[in-house]
Amino acid sequence: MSRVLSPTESMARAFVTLRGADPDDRDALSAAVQDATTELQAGLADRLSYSKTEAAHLLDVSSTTLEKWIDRGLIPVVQVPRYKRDRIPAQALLALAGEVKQLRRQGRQRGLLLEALDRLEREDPQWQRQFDDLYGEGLRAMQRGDLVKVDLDSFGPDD
Amino acid sequence: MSGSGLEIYVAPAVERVIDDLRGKRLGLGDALRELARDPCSAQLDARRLSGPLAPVVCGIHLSRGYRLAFSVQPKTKVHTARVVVLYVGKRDTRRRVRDIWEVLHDLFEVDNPPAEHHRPPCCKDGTPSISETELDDFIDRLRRLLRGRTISP
Repeated sequence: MSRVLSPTESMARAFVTLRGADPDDRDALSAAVQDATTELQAGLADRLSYSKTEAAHLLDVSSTTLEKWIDRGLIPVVQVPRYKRDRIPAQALLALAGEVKQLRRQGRQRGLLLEALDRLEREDPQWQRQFDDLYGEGLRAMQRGDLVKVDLDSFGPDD
Repeated sequence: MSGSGLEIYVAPAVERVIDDLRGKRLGLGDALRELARDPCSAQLDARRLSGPLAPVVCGIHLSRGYRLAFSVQPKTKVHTARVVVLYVGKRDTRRRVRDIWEVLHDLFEVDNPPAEHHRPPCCKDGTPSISETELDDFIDRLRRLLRGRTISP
């Protein structure tokens, strides 16, 4: 039976894995990143939700943008005992934040969340099964292609 | 419909197209605000398409050769009457496969009339109108198109 690791121990193992990889060997580096990701995921397994502030930081967006996405049903929220305010489910958030980060790295600046959700839907069959309940009507509406209201105030003179 | 104050809606796929066009100084914001204020306004100078889409679509000129195609969804039990931006794209008569009006006719699966475009004022005989079914089919084909899939099998 495998021992449950503390988050700090998982981070340490991930750190050691990455430090031990040969940076000149692409395959070894890729495998090390994969191993480190698995270690970190194990360390984060106990964390079931994040606050909105934490979520905004992870997604690298303002709180206003996050609230807009939540209002449109694109970011799921849950109520967790002990917490007065709505929380963001961890797995959905981390998967989305990873996709958003990748899109930013590719130079994409706008329409990030919709593109990230679209990618997850297309490329990760587990995504839909696992998160459909959390997203509920918001995600289903996006999948159906329902209309979204245009925020006229978001357009400036350069647009 | 003067001074009606309508809300403007787009399909998520079109929202992405619009987002990609931000910062290009196309006059999108002004056009959308005027469209929301009154789709029939003289300032907007919207024109009705010719051919099979005449009852459904009007077009607006933006800067740099771009056009905005819109329709009006009538009031239902669920929502009030609202403007739907169907597509924003460039008028490109050289590369017709990219031309907004070619794309739009493909998305509605109708033929684009080759000539004799009369371009009457959009609201001369009332506002353009799109039904729920037409819009659902349009959005479905649009999603497939913008995902890089073919419009028709």
